[in-house]
Amino acid sequence: MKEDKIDILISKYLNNSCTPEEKVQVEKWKAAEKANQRYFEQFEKVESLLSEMDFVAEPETDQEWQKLRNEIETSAESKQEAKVRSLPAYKKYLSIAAAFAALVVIGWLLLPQFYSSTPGIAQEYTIPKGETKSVALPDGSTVNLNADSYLAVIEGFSEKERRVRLQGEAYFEIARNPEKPFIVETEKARTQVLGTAFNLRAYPESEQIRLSVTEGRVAFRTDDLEGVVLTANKAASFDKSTQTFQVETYEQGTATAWLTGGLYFKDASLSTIFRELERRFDVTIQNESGLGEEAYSVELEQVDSVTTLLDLIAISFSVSYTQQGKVITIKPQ
Amino acid sequence: MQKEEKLKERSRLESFEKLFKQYHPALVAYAHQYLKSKEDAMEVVQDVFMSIWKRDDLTFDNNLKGYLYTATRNKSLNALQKKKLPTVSFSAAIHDGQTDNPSDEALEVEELKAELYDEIYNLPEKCRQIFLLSRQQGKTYNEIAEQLNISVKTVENQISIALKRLRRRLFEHNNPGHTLPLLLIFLTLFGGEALKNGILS
Repeated sequence: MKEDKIDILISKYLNNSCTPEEKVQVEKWKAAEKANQRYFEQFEKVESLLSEMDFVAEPETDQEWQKLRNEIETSAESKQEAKVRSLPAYKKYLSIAAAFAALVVIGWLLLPQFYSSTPGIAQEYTIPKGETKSVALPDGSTVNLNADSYLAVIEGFSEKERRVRLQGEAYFEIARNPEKPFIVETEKARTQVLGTAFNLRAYPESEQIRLSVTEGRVAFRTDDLEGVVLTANKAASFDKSTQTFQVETYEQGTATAWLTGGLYFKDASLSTIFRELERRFDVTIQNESGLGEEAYSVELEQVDSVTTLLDLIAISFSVSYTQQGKVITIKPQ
Repeated sequence: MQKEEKLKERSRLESFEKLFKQYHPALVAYAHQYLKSKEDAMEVVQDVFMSIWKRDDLTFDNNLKGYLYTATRNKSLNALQKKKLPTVSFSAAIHDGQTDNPSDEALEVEELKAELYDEIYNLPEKCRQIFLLSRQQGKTYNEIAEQLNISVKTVENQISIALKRLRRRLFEHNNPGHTLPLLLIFLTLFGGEALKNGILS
């Protein structure tokens, strides 16, 4: 049967407009092949969504545009004044920012030297806010370090065991070596593996340390507690204050979204989301908007700049924001 | 005002108008699902466009599509909450599932619906008109044919073209209409604070 013909019949079928013969025809076609069945079910899905949707008769688009246009034109003059006035302040800020930038760069050049003299540590990596880094370890493992994170390779790495220390967040891809376990120390908990890939999130200010395993088997424990052993596509968290482990639902891609520039949150508080933006884009966010802390879910495949999300929040919740150098202030509109 | 700046402002307004006219009908329909009132829906959509206009740094092109749908949805839900209207359909959807994340499925449905609205209101003129007559007013093929003075065959054809495009939009991810997911951020009304405030105030 020609494709167009069957499309018309399926449409009529779902619209209850088929003659009895046509109905039989559709059912026969559907039963003939698995692919036909699947094709039909996709139409059914569309149909069931459509049945829950509203379609507004005459949304008065042209009149509404006139209304909006009038509003825009009446507010145009006051805006013009504001623009002119704010210009000098902006220029002044630019020169301050330039001086500040120079300071920051020098600061970072000096820092590694301070650190590398720490006893017991062979190598250290400190990743500032706004940056990420991929580190190759001597055993062939790689560690992708997220912003505002610190990784130390402990002396004697690869002799008996492979031991590193992490503060912040990192995605590990561990070269397999059953003789020499790979151990990640974090504040209070430790993660031990033979060869696997996993994401570990252990920022100091957070109450939880979170482990998400993408490959292999990972033991997640403290010095005193047995903890849990996780396999691929499993996640768990360790609560620092209650000293308990909890197995959690693993959400595909969520834990590792940061590797590809994405941003995923499920029912998170606003401050948690802002904290992540601060780290990733090296800004400070002051929230004076009065927006509630309630559960926000964010799914962004790619966040190129901090404004991507802030624009969305501003437009959605009638707030505005201003940026002064690295400080962003969110206010009621 | 400087002449140059005036010109720039004019062309900004022109692209804004284009954006408005392209998305306004779909967004009103989208808001209507939540608010069940045409006036309220239109008000929400006006608000959304006004706040977009105020943002100097935005370029008014189709990349804003996701923002428009998301903002309309969030603003509609906020408006609902303020009016303390019973949120029957939405809350039912949210609490349907028995899983750990009961809102997952409902959110996915919302996203699919936004995709469908976007596709429907961007169908070719005639096709859209016929499709909406059948959906909005529940007209039969015969009635539509009569009203528009066209053959029943044409109605059948156009409706099947519309449905075919909708199917493709949802299930064939490499088709040109498919860009970013339309809904990018959700405010879950039924989480904690919002609900408590709604009851207490």
